[in-house]
Amino acid sequence: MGLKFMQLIGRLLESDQRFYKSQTKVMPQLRLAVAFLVILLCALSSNAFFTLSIIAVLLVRLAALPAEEIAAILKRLLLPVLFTMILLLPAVFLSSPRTMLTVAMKVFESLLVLGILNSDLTWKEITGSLGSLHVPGVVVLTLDTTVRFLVILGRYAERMAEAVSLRRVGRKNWRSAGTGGILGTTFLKSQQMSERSAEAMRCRCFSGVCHRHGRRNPGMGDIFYALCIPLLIAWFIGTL
Amino acid sequence: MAESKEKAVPVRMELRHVCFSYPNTMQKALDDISLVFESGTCYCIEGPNGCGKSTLFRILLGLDFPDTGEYLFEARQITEKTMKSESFRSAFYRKIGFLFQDSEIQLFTASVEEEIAFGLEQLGKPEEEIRDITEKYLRMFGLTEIRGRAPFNISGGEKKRTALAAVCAMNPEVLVMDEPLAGLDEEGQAWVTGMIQRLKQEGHLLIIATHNRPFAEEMADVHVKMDRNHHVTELIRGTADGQKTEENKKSNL
Repeated sequence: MGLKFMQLIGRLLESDQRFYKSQTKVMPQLRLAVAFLVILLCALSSNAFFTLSIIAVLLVRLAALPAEEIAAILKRLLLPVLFTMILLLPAVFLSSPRTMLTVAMKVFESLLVLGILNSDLTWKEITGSLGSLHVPGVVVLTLDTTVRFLVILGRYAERMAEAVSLRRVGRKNWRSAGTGGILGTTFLKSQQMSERSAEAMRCRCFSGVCHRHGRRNPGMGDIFYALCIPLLIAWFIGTL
Repeated sequence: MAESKEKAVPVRMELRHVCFSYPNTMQKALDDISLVFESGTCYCIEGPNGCGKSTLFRILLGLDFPDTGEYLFEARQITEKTMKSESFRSAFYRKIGFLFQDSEIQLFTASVEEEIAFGLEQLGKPEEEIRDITEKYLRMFGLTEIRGRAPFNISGGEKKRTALAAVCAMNPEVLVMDEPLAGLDEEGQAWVTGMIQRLKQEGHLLIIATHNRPFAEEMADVHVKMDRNHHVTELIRGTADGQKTEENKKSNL
């Protein structure tokens, strides 16, 4: 169980962080802003029609994605939505059946927004967009480095899990012994890696201030996304 | 590097009777090491695993400091105190570049392009110049195709090239390389060897740790041999006709 879990973490990180995607045409900060606004407005809305209409638009957007992407996004949605429904099941028997549906719908909508955002944007674009929102460069670099470490350590843990499973031939229970060893070694490795990375940064004159650049002029896609913001707010107020 | 006809400024580094032990260990990692490194020379440090090559590099890079003895960089002693000075540290790392054995650890930005630009940004160069230099090094190191990719998602050879490009873009006078050919296929090894050859021709001071004998024979002006007792046992200087003269054998200079 433990080893399977470690392998799963490695694979999840690997598949979840496909850093190399084609550069998007719309400014990532606009996409982030729209995604944030959609989640916020749906959370605030007490009108199911608003949430349903947003879900309908999102499903249309989802349909425009490649089949594998759709399957991957929906697969990730299934478990949290089911979990939410199970948690809220008592509400059905306590004379508030709508609560379960409303919360499950909002969870579905929020995860769908994040799933689409994740399929459209790379992690690099997301953290890069934070720079234009005046988040200090060193914070953005720390975020980038953290995710990089998670991916590398995920791979490392997966490789170790494979090595342990290959050696699991005797009577001794390698599963429990192996998992502890893998977790411990991964922890030590992460410490070693962070030290080496800090030294590498020092050797390249890093003094704690990080500059980032790479701005561009807005295009048609940016204007469309910028227009979405007032439209969403207007729609939200209209359905109050 | 050669494209811009940049010539390295002469640098001299000197270790005088350096001893070093890691904390909580009794055993010395370096024992009475005395060496002089001068510009325009390629030094190959050779020796078995655990003989202290990496520790020697950490001392040369100002990441660790001698317990006893002195390390002088351009006649200035490198100590913990001098390295705490921001201005000195910045000036020091402008002149000395380091290529780690494991390039993956050295690469910390989100893309190959940013990796090359990172050091230049830290040097405070204008944005236009950073862009030009980054483009130049992407082309020179054959990284244009993968410029947007995350450094940890590229192949071992590409990682090594990215790390070397990132270091060379800062145009340091001294290049310290720990096993630059480790983990590379034949083609990758030939490419890196060619690039190091170019750096040597430009007059950089190169200090390379390697287990690869043919590479050391090809590159080294001076072979520094270390043994398991953490001593420098031999210093062999190459001559113009390819023969080698043993300058100092079985001593610590």
